[in-house]
Amino acid sequence: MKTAGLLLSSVALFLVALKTLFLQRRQLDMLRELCTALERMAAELGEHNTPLPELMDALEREDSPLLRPFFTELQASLRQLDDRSFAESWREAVDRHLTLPAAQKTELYRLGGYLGRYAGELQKDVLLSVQASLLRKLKCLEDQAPDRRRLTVGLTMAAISMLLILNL
Amino acid sequence: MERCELALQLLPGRYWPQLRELAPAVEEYRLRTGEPLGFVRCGREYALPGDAVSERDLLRTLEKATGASLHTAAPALNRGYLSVRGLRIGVCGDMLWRDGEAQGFRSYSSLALRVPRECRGICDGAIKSLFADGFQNTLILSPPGGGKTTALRELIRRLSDRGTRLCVCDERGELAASEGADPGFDLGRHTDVLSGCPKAAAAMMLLRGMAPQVIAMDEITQREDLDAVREITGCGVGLLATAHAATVGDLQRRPLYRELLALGCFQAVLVISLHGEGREYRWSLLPP
Repeated sequence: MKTAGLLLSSVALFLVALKTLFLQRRQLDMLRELCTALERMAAELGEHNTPLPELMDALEREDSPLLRPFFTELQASLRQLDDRSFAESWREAVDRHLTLPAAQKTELYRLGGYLGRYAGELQKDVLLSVQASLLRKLKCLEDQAPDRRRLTVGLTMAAISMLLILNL
Repeated sequence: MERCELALQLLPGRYWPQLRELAPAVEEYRLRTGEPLGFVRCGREYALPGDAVSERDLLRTLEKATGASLHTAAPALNRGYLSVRGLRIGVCGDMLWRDGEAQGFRSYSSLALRVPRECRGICDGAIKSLFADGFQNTLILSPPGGGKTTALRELIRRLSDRGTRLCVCDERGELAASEGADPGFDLGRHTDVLSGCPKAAAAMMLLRGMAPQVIAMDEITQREDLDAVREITGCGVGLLATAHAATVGDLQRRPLYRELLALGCFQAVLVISLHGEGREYRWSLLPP
């Protein structure tokens, strides 16, 4: 019984560690996809004055699996004729689909207030400034990734070892 | 979607229940921040009881009209209006003006949403007179909101269906209200429409390329339009146009229109006047 409990606790700790590593990896991938999408949006809005429904449609079809649900929701909201502004829909979609640090989410909320409302050039400037901020965060997370990975693995191993020592 | 329904959908949803029954007769909606929503019927404005309009409502209306893409409508917005499937939305607010050019709006304070309609048979009597003695170049007069565009649309359709090859300079896209290649209004079987182009330039293109018998244009308002009128009639092509004026006397009090009359290009006027809930159409020949 004691051995079974020990085994189960160790497996649980191992799974938590695995999930943490997965989430860290997912956050990095999402930031990468988001930076690419923002760059594309800046080009489309600044240089071609593309309407947002057309742009969301194009972004939804891009090869970015983590962002697809985000753009699908935005595209659907653009077809609605309710009283929610696009900025509100954008904010809701950010909250629902993007796993990002709080500061980066705040940047994205701010961006929603500009999209579709101002001249293409101004939107492009704001998009590029938000993208630069996300790139900085991405770089920082990438630099920290090996340490965070080691820390997660180390802590998990330490916890499992403690369990073994206490129970054997 | 019916135009009155489309106009309703563009407005904030909280007004829909009250407006649904009124909508078919509404000619224009007026949204002003801090004021109740206004609607115009037979040239008279009424206030809808209830919440005042906010700037957020104006923004959302513009978002619905442009698919949340105000940047794509910037050239029209910088001229003070935008056209959406035949609806015209006039815009007021705090405009950003730089180097002699409009750069957009910092904020919005008012919208005027005009709902165009097709009214067949509205000026039958006037049309009979117009066609009685061969086509006469005709100027349609009424104060703003009097129904000039609707009357012009009806004249175009009737004339075109009688076999006249007619071209329309539809600068603001209000006459034909086309959606892509599909005409929103029936302008007759022999009508060609050039939309989105300034009237003077459009008239020259049509004269060169389409060999029209009659050219129709809405709202003569500036000197370039006078040049277009001169070119059209100089080429022996017939002309139908509208101008903001209650009467011929009113027309003669304004320098630009005095000049227009002095050109002698128009032989007749169709004057529209509002009487209570109805309109009266009076056609008369201008003195030579």
